[in-house]
Amino acid sequence: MRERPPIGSTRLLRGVYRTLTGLHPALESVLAAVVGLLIGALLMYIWGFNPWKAYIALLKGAYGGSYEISSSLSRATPLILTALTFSICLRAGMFNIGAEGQMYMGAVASVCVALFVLPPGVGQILGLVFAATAGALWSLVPAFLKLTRGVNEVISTIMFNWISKWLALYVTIFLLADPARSEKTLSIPVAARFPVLVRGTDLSYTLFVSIAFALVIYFVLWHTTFGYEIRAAGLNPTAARYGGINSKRTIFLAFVLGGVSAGLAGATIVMGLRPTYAIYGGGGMPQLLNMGFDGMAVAMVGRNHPIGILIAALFFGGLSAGGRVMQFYGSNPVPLEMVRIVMGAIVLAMSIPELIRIFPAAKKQGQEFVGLMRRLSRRGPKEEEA
Amino acid sequence: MEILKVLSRNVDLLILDEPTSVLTPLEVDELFDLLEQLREEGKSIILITHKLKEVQSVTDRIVVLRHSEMVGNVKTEQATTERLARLMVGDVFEQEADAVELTDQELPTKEKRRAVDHSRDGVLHVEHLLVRGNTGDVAVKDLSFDVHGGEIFEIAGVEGNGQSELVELLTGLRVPASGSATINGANILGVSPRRIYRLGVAHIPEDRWELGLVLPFTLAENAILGVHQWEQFKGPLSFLRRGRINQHVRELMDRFDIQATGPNAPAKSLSGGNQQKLIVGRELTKDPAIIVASQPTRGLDVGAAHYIRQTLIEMRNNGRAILLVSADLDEVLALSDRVAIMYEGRFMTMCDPQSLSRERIGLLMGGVKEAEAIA
Amino acid sequence: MSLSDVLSLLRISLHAMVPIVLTAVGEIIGETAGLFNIGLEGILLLSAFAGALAAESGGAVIGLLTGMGTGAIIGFIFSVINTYWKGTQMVTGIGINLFAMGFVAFGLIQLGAPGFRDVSRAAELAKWRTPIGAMSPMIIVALVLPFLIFWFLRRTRAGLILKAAGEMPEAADVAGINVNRVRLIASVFGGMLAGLGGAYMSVAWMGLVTKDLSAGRGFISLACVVFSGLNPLLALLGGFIFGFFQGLAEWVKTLPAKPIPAQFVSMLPYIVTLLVVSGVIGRVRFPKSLGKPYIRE
Repeated sequence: MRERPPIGSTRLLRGVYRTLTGLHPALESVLAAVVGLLIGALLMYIWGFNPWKAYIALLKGAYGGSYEISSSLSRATPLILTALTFSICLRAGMFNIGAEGQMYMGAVASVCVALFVLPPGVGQILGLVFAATAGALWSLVPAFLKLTRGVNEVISTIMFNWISKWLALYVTIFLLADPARSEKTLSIPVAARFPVLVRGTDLSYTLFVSIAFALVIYFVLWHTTFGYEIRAAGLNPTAARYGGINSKRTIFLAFVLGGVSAGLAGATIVMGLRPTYAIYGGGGMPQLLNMGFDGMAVAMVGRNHPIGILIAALFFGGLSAGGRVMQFYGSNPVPLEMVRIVMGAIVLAMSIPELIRIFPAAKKQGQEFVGLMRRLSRRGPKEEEA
Repeated sequence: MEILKVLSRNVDLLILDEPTSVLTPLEVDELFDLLEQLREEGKSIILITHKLKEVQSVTDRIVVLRHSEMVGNVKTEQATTERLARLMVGDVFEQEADAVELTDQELPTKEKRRAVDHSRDGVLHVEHLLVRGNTGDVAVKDLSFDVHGGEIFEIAGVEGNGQSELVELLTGLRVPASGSATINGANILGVSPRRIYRLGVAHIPEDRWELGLVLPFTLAENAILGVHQWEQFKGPLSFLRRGRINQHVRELMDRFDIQATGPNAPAKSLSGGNQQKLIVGRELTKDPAIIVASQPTRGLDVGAAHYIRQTLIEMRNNGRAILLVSADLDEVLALSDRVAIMYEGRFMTMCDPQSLSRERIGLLMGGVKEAEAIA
Repeated sequence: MSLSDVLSLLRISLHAMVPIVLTAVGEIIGETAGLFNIGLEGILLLSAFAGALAAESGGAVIGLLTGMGTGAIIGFIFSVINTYWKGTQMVTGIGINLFAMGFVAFGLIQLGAPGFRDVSRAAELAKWRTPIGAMSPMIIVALVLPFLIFWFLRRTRAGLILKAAGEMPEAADVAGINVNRVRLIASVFGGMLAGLGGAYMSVAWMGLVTKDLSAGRGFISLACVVFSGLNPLLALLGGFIFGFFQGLAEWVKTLPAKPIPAQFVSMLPYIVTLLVVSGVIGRVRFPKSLGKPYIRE
C-alpha cells in the first residue's frame, strides 16, 4: 500500500499519542505519589488515625482557598531551586547532595545585605547575587575535588552540608546577630525585602525568582550549546568526548550552576519570608532546615525536568502547607511529621523503575491503550472509508 | 588463570573462546597437551579460534562459520590448510548456494579511480607504531603505512588482532608506546579527540552505541555532535539554532535515506542501518581529509551495508583518504584499493587486493605466512 | 590537659567509634557485593528508635536485637528494590532517609515526647566499671567484629562469592552464582550491623532517642568505608579517628573557658572526614559494578 500522509483527525490522534507517551514518565511520578500516600494512610490507620479525614484536611490546607494556595506556593518557592540543583547535576551525571549546605551559605550571604543601606531594588538584586555567589563557591570545592582527585561527590557534598550548617550557625549567632534579639540575625531592611505577592499570606515575589530561574535552566539545557554539552556528557561521556566536548569543564560548570540555584533558594527564604526576614539560629535554623533534602525528592518526582519540577514543587509545597493545617484538624489530628513520611515513601516508590511492572493489570491496560492509539493514528482516510 | 578456574570444576563440556590470544607459544603447547588429556578422559571440548594452525594441531573435527552460517563440517585429518582457507573466505566448496557471496549486482561499482601518487607521504602517515593493549601486552607491533587522498586503504583481519587499538590511537583515545603518526604533517598522538577532528579526521566507530551516538538524544541532537559549536548551528548567547539544525538534519535524512519519523525521533528508535547512516552523514559534514571507518557495515542488513559501501567509494572519488578497518572479506575485495592484512599486531602483507586470491587472503588472515601457501 | 581529661577523651572516643565501625563494616559487606546504600542514616535512626522502644519492655538485649532486626528488614527492602526490581540505589537510599526522619519524629510525638525521649535506666545496657570509667561492652564487639569480617571476606569461600557478585556479576552468574540472592543476603547482613549500631546509640550509649540522633553518622560511616578501601580493619581505624574527633568536640564543650567556639569544634569530625577522603593516597578500588543493578542479557 502506498504511504499516505496523515490528514485531519489522524494527525490529531498522532499528536495525542505522542503527548501521552511523552507523559509516561509523569505517569510514573503520579503512581509513585499515589503509592506514597497509600503507605502514609496505612501507617496512619495503624497508629489509630483516620487517614481519610487527614487527607481531606491536607488537601484543604494545601489548595482549599487562595490563602492555602499561596501557602503552598510559598513553600514551593525554595523547593524549586534546590530541586534544580540536584537535577542539573544529575543531568551532567553527578550526584550533588549538597543543596542543603549550599543553601545555608546562600541564606547567610543574602542576610549580609542588612549591613548596607541601599536604595530599593538594589538590595534585592544584591541579595540574590550574594546568595548565588555563596552557593556557587560552596559547590566549587566538591566539584574540584571530584575532578582532580576523584573524590566521590556524594560524600564530599554531604560533609560540606554539615560543615555549612555549623558555619552558618556560627555566623548567625556571632557575626550577624541582631543586637536586640540574639537568637536571630539582623533582619533584611524593608527596602531590600521582596514584597508580598498576596496580601495576608507568606507568598512573596520570590516565587517569580524561582520560576524565572527554572525557565532559564530549561532554556539553557535544551536550547544552548552549553546545556547540550551538559546533557551529552551526562548521558554518554565517551561519545561526548569524541564529539569534542570537554567533559571535565562541562561537569564542573554544571556543578557550580547547581550551587547557584541552591544559594538562591536560601535567598528566597530569607528575603521573602515574613515576618522577620532573617535567619533564626535556634533549633538549627528551622526555616531553612531540610529544604535541600526535600528538594531532592521534588527533583526526582519532577523527573529532573524544570517543568516537572515546577509541578512537583507545587505538590510537595502543598503537602507541607496542608500538613500544617492537618495537624490541628479534627479531634485526633495527625502530626505534620506524617508529611515527611509520605515524602519518603514517595521517593522510595520512585526508586522502583517501571513501577507499573508491579501492577500487571495496570500495565496491560496501558499497553492496550497504547496499541489502540497507535492503530488509530496510522489509519489513513482510505480505511476510514471502508 | 581463567582456564585454571574453569578446569578446576568438574565439567563435561568445555568451551574455549580464543584461548590462546594472551598466551605465549610455550603456554599454548601446554594448554593443548592439557586439552588432549581432557579428551582422553572423555570430556568434550569446543575450541573457537581463527588460527588455522591451532585448529589443525589439536582438533578432531572442524566446523567453519561464515556470515553466521555453517559452511563446512569436516574431519581434521581431511582438512588441508587450503581447504579451510577456502571455506573461511567463501569459495563455494562444501555447501551449496547458501553461502553468502556478493553477486555482481551487489558489488558497488568500482569506477576508475584517479591515479594516486604513492611516492609522497599520505594524508595519514604512520611510522613504527608500537601500541600496548589494555592488558599491557603489545597489540600493535611496529606498523608503518600511508593512506593517501583518493584511495581506500583497508586493514583486513579477524577482530582482535590489534585493529581496535590502532583505531583508538588514531582517534585520540589511546597513546602509543612509541612511533609517530601525522595527518598532513601534524602530529595526532597524545592529542585530544577534539583537536584530531580539527585536523581533519572523521571517525565512524566500531561500536556505534558506545562511541558514535548518544542514544537517548534525538536524531537532530546526534547529528550535530561534534559540530555543535559551528556558527551555522550556534547563535548568539550559545543558543542552538533549532531551525537550521532541523534543516540540516532533513538534508542528511534525504541524502542518506535515513528512515525515521523526523528529526526529533530518539536515536535509539532507529534501526542499526539508519543509525550508521546518521553517523556517516554527520562525519561527512565535517568535510574531513581522512575518514577512519571501523567495521562500518557490521550488523547491518544487506541494503544498508551496500549503501554505506557505495558512500565510501563516493568519498574516495571525491579525493578523500579512507582508512577502512574490516573483518569482512567481501569488503576487502570489493572496496579497497590497497589492503593490509593484520594478524597479531603486524601486517602480513600490504598490496593490491587484486593480486591475492581469496584463498590466500584467508590464509593470511589465519596467520599462515607465504612459505606454506600455494602460489 | 590532665590525665583524667585524657582518659575521659579516650572513653568518649571509644564509645563514639562504635556506631561508625559497626555501620561501616556492614556497608563494606554490602559494597563488596555491589550495593551502595546511602540510606544508612535512616537505618541508624529507625533502629535506634525501635531498639529503644523494645528495650523499654524487654530489656537492653531485646532492644539491641530489635535494632538488628529493623536494620535487617530495611536492608532487605533496599536490596529487593535494587536487585530484583532493578531500582536506582541512590534514590532508594534517599527515600529511606527521608522516611526515617519523618517516621522517628512522628513516632516520638505519638509517644508523647516531641523532642526526645529518655531510655529508662532499666532498659539501658549496663556499662562496665573500668578504671577509665563506665564503658559499654559493645565496644568490645566493635573492636572484634572487623577482624571477623576481614577473615570472612578474605579467607572464606563465601567472601569470595560476595566479591565476585560485586566485581563482575556477569562472570559470577556464568559460574553459577545467584547474584541477586548474594546481594540480598549481603544487604540484610549489612543492614543488621547498622541496625545494631543504631540501637547501640539509644540503648547502650546515650540513653535517649531524638529525631536527630544519628547526626550524620550514617554519612560519616560511608566516608569511613571510602577511607577503608573496603578493608574492615582500616574501617576500625577510621571509625576510631572519627570517633576521636567527635569525642574531642564533646570534650571541648565541657571546658569552662572555650578556646574555640562550639560550632567550629562540631565541624571537626566532618572536616577531618573530608580531608581523609580527599587525601587518600593511591586509588581506592571499588567493585566494578558498585551501584548498578545486574541485568541478565
